[in-house]
Amino acid sequence: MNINGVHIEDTFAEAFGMRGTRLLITGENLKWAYHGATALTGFATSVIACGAEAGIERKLDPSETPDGRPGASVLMFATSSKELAAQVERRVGQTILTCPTASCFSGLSEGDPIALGKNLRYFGDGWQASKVVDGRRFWRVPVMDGEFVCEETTRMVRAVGGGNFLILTRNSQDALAAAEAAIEAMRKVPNVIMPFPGGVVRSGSKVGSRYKTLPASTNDAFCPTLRGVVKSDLPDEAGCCLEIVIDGLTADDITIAMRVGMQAVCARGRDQGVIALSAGNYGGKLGQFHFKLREILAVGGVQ
Amino acid sequence: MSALTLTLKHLPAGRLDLSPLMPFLASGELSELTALPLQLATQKIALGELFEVKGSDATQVVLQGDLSRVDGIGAAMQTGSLTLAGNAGAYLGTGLLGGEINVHGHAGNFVGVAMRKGSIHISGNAGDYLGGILPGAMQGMAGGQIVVQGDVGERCGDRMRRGAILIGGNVGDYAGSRMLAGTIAVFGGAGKHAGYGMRRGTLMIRGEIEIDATFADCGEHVLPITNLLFRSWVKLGSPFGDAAGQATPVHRFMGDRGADGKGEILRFK
Repeated sequence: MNINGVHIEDTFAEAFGMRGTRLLITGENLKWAYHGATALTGFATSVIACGAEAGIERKLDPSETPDGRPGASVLMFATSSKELAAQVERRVGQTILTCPTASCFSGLSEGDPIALGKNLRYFGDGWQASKVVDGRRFWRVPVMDGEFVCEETTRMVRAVGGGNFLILTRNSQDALAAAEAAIEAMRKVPNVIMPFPGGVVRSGSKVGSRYKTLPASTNDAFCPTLRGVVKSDLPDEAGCCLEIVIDGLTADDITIAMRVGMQAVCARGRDQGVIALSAGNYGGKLGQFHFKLREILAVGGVQ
Repeated sequence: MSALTLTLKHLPAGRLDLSPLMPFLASGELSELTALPLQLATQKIALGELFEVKGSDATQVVLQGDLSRVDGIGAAMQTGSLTLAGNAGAYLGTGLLGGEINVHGHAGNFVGVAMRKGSIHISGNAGDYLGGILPGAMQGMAGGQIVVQGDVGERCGDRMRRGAILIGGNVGDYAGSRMLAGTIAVFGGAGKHAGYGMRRGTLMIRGEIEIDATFADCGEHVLPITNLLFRSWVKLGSPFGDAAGQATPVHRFMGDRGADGKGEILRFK
């Protein structure tokens, strides 16, 4: 398959089941809502060492938030329900409780309830109080700028993490431009986040390493500087490769995001240095979700 | 199916207790409704002797006539709707478990005492002990919502535990007395000793109020929680939703310091 001069590898992205939740962060204005949401989703690129993968899904208008203030919608994913619950509590406690004027609400109405403000309320040292509004319980914790308002629980759903595609380009500049175009398009897709810096990751990994203690290591088949010494998967013209990783509430959401992102990359075409699209997988043995690039792109966009 | 309509034939000579009606409709045969024994003052009387019964949909009950001497209307109701075309007597919606009661008129004392769920809407005024407590019980209203467009009497929300009471007009003395938790919002003024013996919970007052010495002035603040409350009241119309969408500052008084003292009176504009 070839779109606009871009070769589409006959391969698939391999993704895993995760647990996910959505949180709504509001503030006095968008600036402070984003300070909270940015901190909440900071250092949340990969579950390998961050505990959670998180990102800002989109901006929220005052009409869309429970308290009528501007805000941001955040998605957070972890490998187990226990870990997700721990990460939600730890992160909200350290970043939203601390953020001036910020409040935190559940952004899902279905799924298993997990604690949001249920335990954070004890920061109030006995001065905390709750209010039930339209059947939802909110905690009010006195803080130095007034009150921290936090919904008692959020909902946790079965989600999918690790959808991805690789962008192979002539050089680093072309790769960045293509990746940025993809991310810009993908940010408009609901129910997904791209958890890495700017949505893009350069250190794609393979399973295993030559070191006993290291379960994953650099994906040498896509490292341009090793092309002469390893079994390289890079075409001759490709001098750079970047990966976009997607976590979503459902597999369908990831499919849509991958399609939109890959179409944006293909739209740039070979003229702007895009050589090929590929994906990261582990031979299909580890992940329960397979996203086949050619099938995804066959729906709209084949030339 | 048309709504089950009960029309009172004439004003009874004494107080009539209609509290068996809703439990009967929840489980009994509609054909036997006219034989349902009711307590009228000191004697038993069949429902059919006092009410003309029409319609068959027991999930939509309409009561017509002057019911100001009829007590316990809608008591222990679990679901559906109950509409009163005129005034109601005492103990309207006692121990309400669900559904909604609408009164197009005034209601007497003890509206919604010990109610747990559901909603009561009164377009006129209501008497004393609204959302309060039954004799011998530890807690008053434990959930649901009561909305009164007009004024309410004394001891409103006595020992209230949960839920919301919204009052469009004024409230009498001892509003929110011995309150355990929950929310009372008064869009008019309050009488004397508001929040007397209050342990937790919120008493919001827009109009005139004299704050007792047992409440501590905590200053004026914009509280995000009031956004949530006002917004949830928008569907009730004016005056309840008027403040929604504004960063309304409230003056916070904590008390009653003679009790647990974790309650609050919020004066708002």
